Amino acid sequence: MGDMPHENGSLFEHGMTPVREVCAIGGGKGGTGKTFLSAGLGIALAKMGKRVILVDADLGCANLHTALGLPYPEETLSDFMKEKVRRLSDVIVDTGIEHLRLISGAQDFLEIANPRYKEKMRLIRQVQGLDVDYIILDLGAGTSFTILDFFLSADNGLLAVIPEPGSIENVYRFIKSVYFRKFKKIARDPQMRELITQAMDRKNTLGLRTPYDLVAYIQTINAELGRRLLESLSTLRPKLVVNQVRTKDDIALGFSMRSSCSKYFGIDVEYLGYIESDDTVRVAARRKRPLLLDYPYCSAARCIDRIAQNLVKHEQLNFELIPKP
Amino acid sequence: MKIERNLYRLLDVAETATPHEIRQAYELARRTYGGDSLATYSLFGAEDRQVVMSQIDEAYRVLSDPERRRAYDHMITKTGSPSGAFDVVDEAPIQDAGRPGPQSNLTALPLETLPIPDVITGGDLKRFRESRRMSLQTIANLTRINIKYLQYLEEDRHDNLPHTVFIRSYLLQYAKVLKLDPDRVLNGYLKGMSKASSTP
Repeated sequence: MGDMPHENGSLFEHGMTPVREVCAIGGGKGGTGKTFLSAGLGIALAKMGKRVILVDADLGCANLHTALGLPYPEETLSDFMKEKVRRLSDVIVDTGIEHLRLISGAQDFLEIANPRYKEKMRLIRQVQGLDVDYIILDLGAGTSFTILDFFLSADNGLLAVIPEPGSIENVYRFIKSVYFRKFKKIARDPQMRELITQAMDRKNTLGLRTPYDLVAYIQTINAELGRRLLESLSTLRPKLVVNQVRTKDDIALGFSMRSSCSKYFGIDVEYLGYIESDDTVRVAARRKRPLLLDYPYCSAARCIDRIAQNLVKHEQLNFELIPKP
Repeated sequence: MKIERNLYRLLDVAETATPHEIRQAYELARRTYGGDSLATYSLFGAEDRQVVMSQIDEAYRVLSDPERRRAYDHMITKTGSPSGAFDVVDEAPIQDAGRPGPQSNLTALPLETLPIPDVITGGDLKRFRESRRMSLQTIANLTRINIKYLQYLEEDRHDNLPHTVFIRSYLLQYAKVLKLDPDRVLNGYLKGMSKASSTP
């Protein structure tokens, strides 16, 4: 959010209260459960009495409405992006679930998937002005600048990962992209930007093997920039959710990834929770019904409830909470 | 790679962790960095993992022993916590070692300016270190390698050193702190060692 322009006060006119927390859910690869987690968390938070708006920010491939058991709504983000309506709040629709509302994504035309910088910032600003307790942004797959900027604009960046090599690699790639996107926003000096670009290449000739090496190196040649980069790292705290876990080792994956990120990137990743693999999820999806409404006591739904509680309490998973084998 | 000096953070446990939690964390850390963990294979090479493993072993050696742990706790409360995330970088004395100012051409900056011979002795290590104006204690602080072992390395007292796995990791860390090519230092020193053992 660092260098984003703020409209002092004007966001919160007419007695609006500022939003509590924006959560963005990303993770690189498709099929890791971003939309499933978004819908689940939205319902879990609403059941806790929080006022929630789900935003389908998977621009171009929106289907969050389906995960909530709704038809494609009349009003969508597309109307806002095309400036058919002036305010984002004009495209909010009810979900039929108390405290939970939806801003459905644009499905219709391609340019929307890659909005211009100004349009993107207009959207991010208005998202932050919505008058609720929680806003959940369901980001699409990939690491486009739009997705990275949404992720960086959020108070909580959640990453959905499944215990498979491809998904884990993509989550790391996602973190790396977020990391360097953030750096490049801070480093104005073209020479430094060039250095960052070079360091992003794994086979760089500078001998910088990890992103953390880059920060350490920049510190030695430009102390002031190094300090600012370090500072920005402390605010980057992605939260991991490991989906589709089947074994104790799958659960431990979150801790291992947390440790690896600390050593490789020099950032603190939090392990927000895991979701057990559960056939009920597929059954609910086929019926186009939200899991947490129709099967609130199945193991996956209870896992999502726990994740929502951790999110609200700003807590993460502890070793002791790993179930015994 | 971030060299974590705080032993608790190395194992990802709270300073109030119970012996059982420390044991659990240690086992998890060994699984994370040893072998074919899904979480690490795409980020770290074998060498980096080895370095981390030896740090984890060292952390566990201290924290699993009530007496050593007490001494360590005493040290960090007395000297101020070394747990500040980036103090290793803050202390990195490379700025003193004749590094050019911020205006220099970045891409032309050599990380390593010392010629490294094919066969390296402990005396060479010492010479590298002194040319970087670093004390043995500084290296011990930065790498968390016992200063005694660093001394043995420099004095070629190979029989007093632990298993080769550790020597490798020590050398890699030593080289990294001095901003020398770790592979050259490692291979050179190992050559020196086998030479010394073959000549009675």
